[in-house]
Amino acid sequence: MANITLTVKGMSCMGCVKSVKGVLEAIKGVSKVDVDLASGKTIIEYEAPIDVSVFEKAIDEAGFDVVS
Amino acid sequence: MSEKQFDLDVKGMTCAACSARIERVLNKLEGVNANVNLAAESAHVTSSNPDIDLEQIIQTIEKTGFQASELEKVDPAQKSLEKEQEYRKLRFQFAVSALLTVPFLIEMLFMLTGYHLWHMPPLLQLILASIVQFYAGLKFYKGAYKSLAGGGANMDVLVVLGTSAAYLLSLGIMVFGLSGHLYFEASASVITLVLLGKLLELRAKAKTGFAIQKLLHLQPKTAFVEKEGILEEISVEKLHVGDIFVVKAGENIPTDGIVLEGSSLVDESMMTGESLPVPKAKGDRVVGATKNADGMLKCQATKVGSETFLASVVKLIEEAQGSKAPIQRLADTISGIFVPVVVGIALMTFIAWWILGEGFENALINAVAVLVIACPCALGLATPTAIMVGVGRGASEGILIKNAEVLEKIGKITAVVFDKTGTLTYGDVKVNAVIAHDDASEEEILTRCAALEEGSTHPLAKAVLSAVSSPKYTMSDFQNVSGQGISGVIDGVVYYAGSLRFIAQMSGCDVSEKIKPYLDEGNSIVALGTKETILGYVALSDTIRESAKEAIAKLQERKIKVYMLTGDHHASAQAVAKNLGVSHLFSEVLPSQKADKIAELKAQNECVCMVGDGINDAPALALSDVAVAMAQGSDIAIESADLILTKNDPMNVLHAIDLSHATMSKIKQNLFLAFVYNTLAIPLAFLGMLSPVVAGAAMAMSSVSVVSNSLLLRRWKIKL
Repeated sequence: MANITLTVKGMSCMGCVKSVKGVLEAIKGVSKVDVDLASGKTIIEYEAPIDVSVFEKAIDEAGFDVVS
Repeated sequence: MSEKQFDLDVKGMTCAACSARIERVLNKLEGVNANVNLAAESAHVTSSNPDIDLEQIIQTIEKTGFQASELEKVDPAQKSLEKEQEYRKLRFQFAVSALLTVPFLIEMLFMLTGYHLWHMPPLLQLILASIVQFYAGLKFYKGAYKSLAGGGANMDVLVVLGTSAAYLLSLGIMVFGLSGHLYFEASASVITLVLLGKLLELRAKAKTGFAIQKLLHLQPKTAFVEKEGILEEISVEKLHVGDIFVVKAGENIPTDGIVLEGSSLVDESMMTGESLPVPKAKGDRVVGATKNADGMLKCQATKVGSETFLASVVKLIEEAQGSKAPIQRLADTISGIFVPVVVGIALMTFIAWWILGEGFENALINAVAVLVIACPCALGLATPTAIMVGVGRGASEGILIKNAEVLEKIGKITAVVFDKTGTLTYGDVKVNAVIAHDDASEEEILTRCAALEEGSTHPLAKAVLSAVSSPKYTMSDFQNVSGQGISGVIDGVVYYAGSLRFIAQMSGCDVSEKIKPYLDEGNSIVALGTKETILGYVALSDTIRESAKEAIAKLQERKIKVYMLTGDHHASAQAVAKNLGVSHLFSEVLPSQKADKIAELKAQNECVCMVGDGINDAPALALSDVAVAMAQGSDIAIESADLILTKNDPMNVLHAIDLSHATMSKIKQNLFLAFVYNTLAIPLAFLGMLSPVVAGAAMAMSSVSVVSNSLLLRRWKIKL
């Protein structure tokens, strides 16, 4: 079990939060996603070894930017 | 290169950022241009890339976390075609049924006159009756099955039970060679008559929907669109928001838009009921389906397809006509328990007659008569037909009713609250005078005031702005104190503009006596001040609607309390109230308090109707029992309203109440008619005094009389 914290830019409402959570949780091996709308802080807990680029790609495809 | 177009339904968007995001992601695809509409939950995508298909677009949208599907287009013309086909099919079934029933009737006539000249062979009877029973009558079997499967029992069940009993009895007599009368004529004629009732019902419904069809026909099929300087005729479905179209003289305007060039007179009578053509020039809004009378107009489309004013009006009327009034629940409940009760009575009839030794055959026939006469279809028609006609009548008088409940409720109103600006007045506020508090020049007061109001959307702000030809100051750090005033910084000094109370509070000074005469005349005052002093006042007023006075007087004549609600200073509000003859007044009400006033009235057990037009009226509208919005009002007010007055005429509130009374009394008459038929005829049938054929005819008559009675409502007119 590992977790990673990313900062996502471009979210403006709970709908956006839901989208980000949705696309991340859809990735195989991800067990939990916490998104804070105000700061953009997104904590992803996952089991299998997943490369960060997978998360970044999913977030990017959902129309948001990953800052760090 | 050919462009492909896709229209999609998008679900799950909650804010403008969501729609913007979908747009951005879609536009990343090569050759794709997307337009996502948050409010309509739809996306319009054009693609010049041949590799992009619908599936790919849906996938892309789904990757952003939303659901997308291809938009189903319900074409009103297609819908009316389907209705037409349904009607034709029913008419054909009725014709077959009637034709095959006629020989039975001829035979019956002979029997009644005592001449047994002609007797139909039993086999022929069986063939004719079977066709009627299972071809023309099939829809009743289907309906009964559906109803029973759904756990209920409707009139189809009664028809099926009654006619099947008569049919099977006759069949049994034939097959087993029993000596007995054949009742094929009963089953056949009952089905024929019930079909006739349905046919008349469908025709009556089509008539009530006619008003809508007429509206839809006004929209032209094609539009002349200007693309890169070339005029091209395209079908209106292909119009997009932002397209530039040209309307020639005498043509109908294809969609909602804003005039870019040209000037003309436009006949908007179909929308507003206003018979005089309205002049339109650059910057004016035009409404789709209205008629361009003389000049040529170049316009830009602002709304297309299902979002246009016409489409929303049609949708509104259709929804209202299909909605259920509370009174209908009564009819539904009765219908629901009616069928089992009737089946019980029929069973009792059968048993009673059998025990009395009248024989199986007579007992069954009397029971069949009970089943047939008891069909509660007239009961089922009583409310919806009246509502349909009532809503349709309202629409053609400029009263758009959102649902049937409203039509019932507005007749029970005990208090009407009118928002002043835009409702009782035209809302065209003008600056009447500028009054200095001490020695500031009028010019100074007005220009500084205008600079502040630059940031505000208040109707008074607009009036102040338009009174100044060119802005002299620039303002920064704008702040809005909802409903009270605004503040901003000009040349490093904080200025306040707003109500008298607000300025007195901010500056710590008392307001000047000089403004009193202006207040007494009913002017609204915008005051301007700083932290230390008051600079001056701008007096504004708008024109009272001509019909407002009459509407108020007539409402009060009917013992309906009329309230005027305004944020204006008490003295000025009182002057306007006196002029209008309003007996109750709520003045100096902050926008946030408007809803409280409605709640206050409701707490006094008043049934409150709120009439408003502004964004800040929306909470009050939502709280009131019946919310009425002026069509010229903001979209939010219209959205929260139950009833929309397209002519913006306060008199229409009165007319809506009249229409409600007329419709409700029609419904009560209908329910009475329907009940009388059923309750009088059931005992007769029980006593064996009604043959199934007569019962069938009586039942068809009851449906017809109810529908015709509803159609009489079309004659309802506004009382002047």
